[in-house]
Amino acid sequence: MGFDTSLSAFNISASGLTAERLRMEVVANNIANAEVTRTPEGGPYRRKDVVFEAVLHPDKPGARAGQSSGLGGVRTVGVIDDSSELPKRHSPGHPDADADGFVTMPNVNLPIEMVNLITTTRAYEANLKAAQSFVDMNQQALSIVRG
Amino acid sequence: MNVTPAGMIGSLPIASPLSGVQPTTNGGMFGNVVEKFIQDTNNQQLQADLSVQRLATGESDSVHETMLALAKADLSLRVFMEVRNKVIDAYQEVMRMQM
Repeated sequence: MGFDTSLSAFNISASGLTAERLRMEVVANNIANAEVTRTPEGGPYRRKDVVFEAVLHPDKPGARAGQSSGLGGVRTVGVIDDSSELPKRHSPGHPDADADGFVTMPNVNLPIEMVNLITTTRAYEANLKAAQSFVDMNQQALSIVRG
Repeated sequence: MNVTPAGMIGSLPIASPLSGVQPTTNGGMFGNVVEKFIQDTNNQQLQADLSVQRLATGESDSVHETMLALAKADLSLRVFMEVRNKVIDAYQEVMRMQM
């Protein structure tokens, strides 16, 4: 009600920012664990990825009246494991090496993570820009009464 | 010369978007609208305040949500101020009317 409906674009941008922030956390976690061979679940670290989902409120009261679009932004479904093959590295001195001297390493690919990092940063920026544009639009609308 | 008597003015239809809506007894329609508007604006301020508090105490870790809450509070206050200015302008315009 009230301002919350008229400022709903803010909430949409906020959900986008929250989602990108989580993606950033996941990417940072992947980079931090790029050389980790031990995890609580056993075995080396597996690269994590996030899954997002669109939020819609078609039954919201404003959606029918045309005041609000009923769009709710984005929601995180969960963080999933990348099931791709784990590379092996020959390192006989390593405590986690197998009988042949091979260590199973995480499937984290640093260049890919760097690209994800840039994409996430830019996506965060884009969401922020959308919020700022919304503020600008509203302030311009206020100038109508100022004459 | 035919002069229209002043009493005729009372019979002219006065433009009112709220015609047909009965004013409520306490404060009337406009008072209620203003009250609700103030409450809404105040709510945004309180939410922003709470959000800053949560960030400062470490309860929340998202800077952007706090900043957006502040922007919302700022925007709603600006809207409120513009409406208030316009209403007071209109009131003063009416008070300046020559009788």
